[in-house]
Amino acid sequence: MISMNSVGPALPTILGGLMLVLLWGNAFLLYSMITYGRGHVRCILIGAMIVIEYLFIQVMIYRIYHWNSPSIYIPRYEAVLNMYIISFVAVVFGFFVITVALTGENILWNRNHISRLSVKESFDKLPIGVCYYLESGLPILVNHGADMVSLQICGRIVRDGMEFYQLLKDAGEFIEMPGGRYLSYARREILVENNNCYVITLNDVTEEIERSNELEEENKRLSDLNAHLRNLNATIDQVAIQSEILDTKVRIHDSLGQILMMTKLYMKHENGEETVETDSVGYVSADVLKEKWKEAIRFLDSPEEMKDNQLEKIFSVAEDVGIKIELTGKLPTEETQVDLLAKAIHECMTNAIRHAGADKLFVKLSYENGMRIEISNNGKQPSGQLSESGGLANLRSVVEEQGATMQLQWEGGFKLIICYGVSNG
Amino acid sequence: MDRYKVLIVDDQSVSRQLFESFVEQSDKYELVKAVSSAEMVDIYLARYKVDLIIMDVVMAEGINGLAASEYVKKRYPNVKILMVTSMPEVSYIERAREIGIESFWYKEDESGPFLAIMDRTMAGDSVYPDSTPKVALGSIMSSELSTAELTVLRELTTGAGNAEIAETLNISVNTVRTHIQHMLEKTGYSNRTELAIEARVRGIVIPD
Repeated sequence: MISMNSVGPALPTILGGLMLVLLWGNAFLLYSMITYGRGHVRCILIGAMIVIEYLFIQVMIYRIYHWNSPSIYIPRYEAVLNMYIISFVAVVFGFFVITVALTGENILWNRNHISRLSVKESFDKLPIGVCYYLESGLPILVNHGADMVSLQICGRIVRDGMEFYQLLKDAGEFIEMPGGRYLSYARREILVENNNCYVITLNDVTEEIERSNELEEENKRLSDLNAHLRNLNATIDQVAIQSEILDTKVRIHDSLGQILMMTKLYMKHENGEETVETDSVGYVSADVLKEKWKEAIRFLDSPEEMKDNQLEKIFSVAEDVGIKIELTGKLPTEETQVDLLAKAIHECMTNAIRHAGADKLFVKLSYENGMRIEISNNGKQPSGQLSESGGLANLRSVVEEQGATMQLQWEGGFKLIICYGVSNG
Repeated sequence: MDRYKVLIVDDQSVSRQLFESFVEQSDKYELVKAVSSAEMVDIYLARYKVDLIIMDVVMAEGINGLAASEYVKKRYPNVKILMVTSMPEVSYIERAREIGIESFWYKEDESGPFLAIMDRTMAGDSVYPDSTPKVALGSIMSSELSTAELTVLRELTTGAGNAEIAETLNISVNTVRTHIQHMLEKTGYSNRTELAIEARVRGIVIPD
């Protein structure tokens, strides 16, 4: 047992030092606990323990230094004194052990749980900006990304969610950030604990915009190419046809070469009246040679194609098949009218030959705010109204597509009337 | 024996002359007319008795020979048709068969006399070439392109964009892009315009 008289100055120093170590230990544990983010209740509990320890230590030190003070109650029995010191040390150690246990448990808890601090910290580290706010505009949770955007567009962090959203809308579809980055934003409504909230999300779409720009440039290039191709397409047919003509002429040229060779051999032969043999064409006579020359010359002398308009072409065919077209009125010049008239004459001429045995077609044209076409023939009259099918039905489709009307008369001979741009009364 | 009446429909005078000379060489045939437009065929058929039409496919103006043949086969099923072309467009043979055209001949084909084909056609045979002529397209032959690639190429020559081609052929834009990319890799052409023009000029594909 420790005797009070023998305590001397060493005991308070040792006890004081021990108590300080315990105090600092507890303080360190508390700091660790807060750093790990455990809940407030535990922090308060451990804090209270430290305060109690501190008070115990203060009382202990005070009593040791004022051991002989008559104003302070001092137990007269050593046993009591010893009990007091032992109890004191036990309590302080007890608290220490409890604090260690709680801290250990706290660390384990933190491994499996996320604290609010962690949530905020993680939230701030998100690559996107997020801002939750109530209907009133009061922000609930705003991360660093959203604040940065707010700073960029209005020079301050988010203070009002509604105002922030309005600023975003005013800034346009994409928000341009420093460093050439672009953000897009979206807002949706969510329900949090029966309260309507809004969440604004801001995503980095720089890469998408760059790709979109590249795609747009590519599409423009393709569009230009396609337009170029369409223009070329109009002339490609002619190029292909000219190429075909050229191929044929080359073949004729080759056969001309053969004829020249045959002629040369023929002329060289001592007996010109006899047939001669060549390697490539077999036996030829003077008559055959003459025919081949005539044929070759005819090919080479063939005229180039003349491009007629539709009406000239149909009149030419009519002459070719022995149909005389008696025209009353002036021929149209407007393209649609020319096309309609040519198609109508074509159909009427086919039917006049096929069904009426006609050799004359009467075409009457008049113009009053438009064009009126009347076509009839000198063939036999139809026995009655015939069904409108085949060519006539096709012609009606073409006529009506052009906004014109078509009328068929059967009595007194077949007559077709087309009115383009005028009433057909 | 009556001679077969022949109508020649070809927009090129040189080709018409060639076919006329074939017809004139034979005692079996008699030339009715040699005309330059397929559009007018129905008028000649209404006027004249015709047994055989020698019909070119590609016409510079108006409807093409296939469309005209389809009309003829509906209205005059007994008239036989010998389709001729210098274009190696692969779809022509297939479409000619569908229409019911009796015979088909490539103008460059020098394997057999043309008159023999006319004779066989009039005898009731259907004479078709085994394959389309092989034409060089860049660093490959046209036969090395798949049917799907040719279908896309045909649309490409109209100047249509990828989306239009995809919609017309009812396939995805990615598929169109892949086919075009493959064709560029195969042929060695640097861009789609060059590919389309070369394919069209060589007659490998001809849009309607």
